[in-house]
Amino acid sequence: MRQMKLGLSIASAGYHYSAWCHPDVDVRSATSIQHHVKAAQLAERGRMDFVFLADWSSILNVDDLRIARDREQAQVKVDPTLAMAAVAVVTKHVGLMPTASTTYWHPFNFARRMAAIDQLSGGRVGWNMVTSHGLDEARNFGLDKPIDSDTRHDRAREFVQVMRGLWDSWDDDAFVRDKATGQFFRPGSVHALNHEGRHFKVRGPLDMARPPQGFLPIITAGTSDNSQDLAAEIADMCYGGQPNIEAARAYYSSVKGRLPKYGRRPEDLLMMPGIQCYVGRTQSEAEDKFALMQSAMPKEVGIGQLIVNHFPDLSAYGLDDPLPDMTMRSEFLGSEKLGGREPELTLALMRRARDEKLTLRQLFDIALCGFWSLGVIGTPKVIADMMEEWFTTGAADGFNVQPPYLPGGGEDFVDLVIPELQRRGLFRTEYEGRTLRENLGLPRPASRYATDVAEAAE
Amino acid sequence: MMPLGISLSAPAAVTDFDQVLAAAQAAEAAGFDFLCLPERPGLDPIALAAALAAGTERIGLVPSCSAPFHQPYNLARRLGSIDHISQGRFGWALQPAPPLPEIEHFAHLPMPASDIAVPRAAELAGIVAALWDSWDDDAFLRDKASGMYFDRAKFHWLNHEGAHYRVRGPLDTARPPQGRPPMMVLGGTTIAHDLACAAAEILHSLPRHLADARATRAGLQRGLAEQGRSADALCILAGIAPTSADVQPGPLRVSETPAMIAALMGEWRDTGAVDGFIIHLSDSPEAITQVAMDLMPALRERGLRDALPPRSPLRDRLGLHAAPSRYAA
Repeated sequence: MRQMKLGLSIASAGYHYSAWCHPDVDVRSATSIQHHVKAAQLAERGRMDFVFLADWSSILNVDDLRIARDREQAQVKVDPTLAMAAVAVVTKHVGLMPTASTTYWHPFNFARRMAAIDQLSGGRVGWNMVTSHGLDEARNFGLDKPIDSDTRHDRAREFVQVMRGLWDSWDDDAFVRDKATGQFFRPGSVHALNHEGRHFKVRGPLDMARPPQGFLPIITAGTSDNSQDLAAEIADMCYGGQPNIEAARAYYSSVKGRLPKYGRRPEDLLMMPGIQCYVGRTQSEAEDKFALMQSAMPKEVGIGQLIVNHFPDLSAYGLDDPLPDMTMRSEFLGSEKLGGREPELTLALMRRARDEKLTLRQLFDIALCGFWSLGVIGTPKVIADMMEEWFTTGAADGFNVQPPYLPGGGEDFVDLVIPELQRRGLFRTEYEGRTLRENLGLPRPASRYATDVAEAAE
Repeated sequence: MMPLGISLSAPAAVTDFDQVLAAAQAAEAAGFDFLCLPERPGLDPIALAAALAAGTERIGLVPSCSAPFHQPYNLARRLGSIDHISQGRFGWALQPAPPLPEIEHFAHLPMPASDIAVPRAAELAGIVAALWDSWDDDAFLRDKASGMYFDRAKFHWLNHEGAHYRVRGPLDTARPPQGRPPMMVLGGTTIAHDLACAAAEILHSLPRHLADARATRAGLQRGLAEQGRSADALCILAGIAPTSADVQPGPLRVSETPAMIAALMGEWRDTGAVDGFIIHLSDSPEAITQVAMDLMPALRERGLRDALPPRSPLRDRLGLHAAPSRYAA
């Protein structure tokens, strides 16, 4: 029976913007390795496929005083690849999925570092492949503005080609390490890459063995045509951000529909939408948890997040004031200045605010849970019902669980929702394999030289 | 105390993490101050340092990296992260110019001509240190009652525009626990000594004999003075190796008894030629334990080492001054 895959996304203290203000949360989570270790051990206790760490190479628009970044935790972090290298040493089964950009990193360094982490974790590391489109990031790397989307995606594609080429440098059976004969590796088992492309020129070979997983599993995200095409071409998983099942189904079939173009089958790519849940043994307990989180959030944080997502500055309004008729801010729309989600979502939320005559507080509640991406407040049964529907009707192959705060919000999912999913046979009760690939049900790719070697031996 | 480190310098590729972890734990148990992880084939030293930080508690970790292959922003973040992960046990060794074979993996990057390798590496090191100061030590209020996470008055834009790099900053990680994790340079060349005088706090020197070590010290003191740095701003540690060790060429070979080796170390230290030593060994945990069992008692007898050094930041263990932020009053 097909079972869903589950990742646990760690975003410092959690996905709610004011997670760090929750009474049970360690305020130092963002830079505490113990916090990351605990979250990974929690995911492992729940038999989850992997822990996930987002990343970007800058602080975010701290110079825009309308956005209350000084009340958010997200400005400081630990480098995700290195946090995962440390986590690998104190976990056994859970996959490790750090984010790294193809825009300002170099594929040789990165291939080498990730192969090392795959080696030392026994084949448990994957990669969230992103491109860097932020203005703040560009300015940390000597540029005045971000690189355009076409160039970024072209570079990302070549980056992955180089990495996979480097990972194939040594055949799987290259190292014989025979003390008796003194032979360390088999002649002919090492391959120079000699890559010369538009963005990189890399001779190779990589100075280390093929990673245990061959190629590390790649997860990626994005709704643009460029992003979806790249996902269909090179990714093993796709991290979705659709807030409702219709949008998720459309995204699911849009990405999967591109697979044949690259000679791939639908099951070669797992669609993994994000899901933020507030779990209670009763509905009212779940709602209380959400209310506690919302009450911990300063008004300035909510206002700032709306501005990031193309709303006007609503700071003049009280929490229980009705909202004005809003129009989309245009000056930064679609620009790299603020980031933010798709403008269509903003337009839909503005329409809803007008139709339902929402107050600012109600707008915050909708925006903070379930509007920009999937959010649900409920009992394990309610949440499992919804996940099952998404999983069985072409909206998801699994989920990236985004706990609102950690560890409490993650423990609720592991201790209450996962047992319900397991009872329904929708999720594993034990890890199937040793590597992340094995647990994800993805085959281990053969080296590009494997056939040549077989032929040469004949 | 006389700083004493270990360098895993076997010529073979490092491929077995469990063996390196066992070596690091053996070195820690023996009371060594830090472990150098040189650049060589196999496991990436930066990833290795982060992983070893999770498997050890007291020992310092000093991976190597080659300057031209790194962007200063990424590098500052990664290295600062290891200081956070290890809670202040991190140092790093910067190579200004990588060996030729490595360069061909990065053939699209402009490689520094030898005459600009040092200024460029020094600029890189300067940016890394400056980025670490992006946030004041007390910038993070993390006050749940007021909802204030940080104080906007306590972070700093770098706006660096130099000959080789442009970086706006600030860094997206908090100031490392040590403030400025110490930077090491492997000596032996003019390039390395120039970089050490400009930007390093540890020189891993490779003297052939005492007179050589003294001459190196004198030359470095002149270089430091030219850079406006005090003579004690650079901790000089000489590489030595037991004659039996299968390690890359470079360190001084010593074949006497443990008592004689301890006497030699004491003499070099007392005459001011060096501040301490780095013992080059293979990656074998047994070899590390053996050296420790032979040598440590002799060093303790001469008052050069404590039984087990306290758990403290690497800077303290090396006798380096505290590193307040450049923005501190």
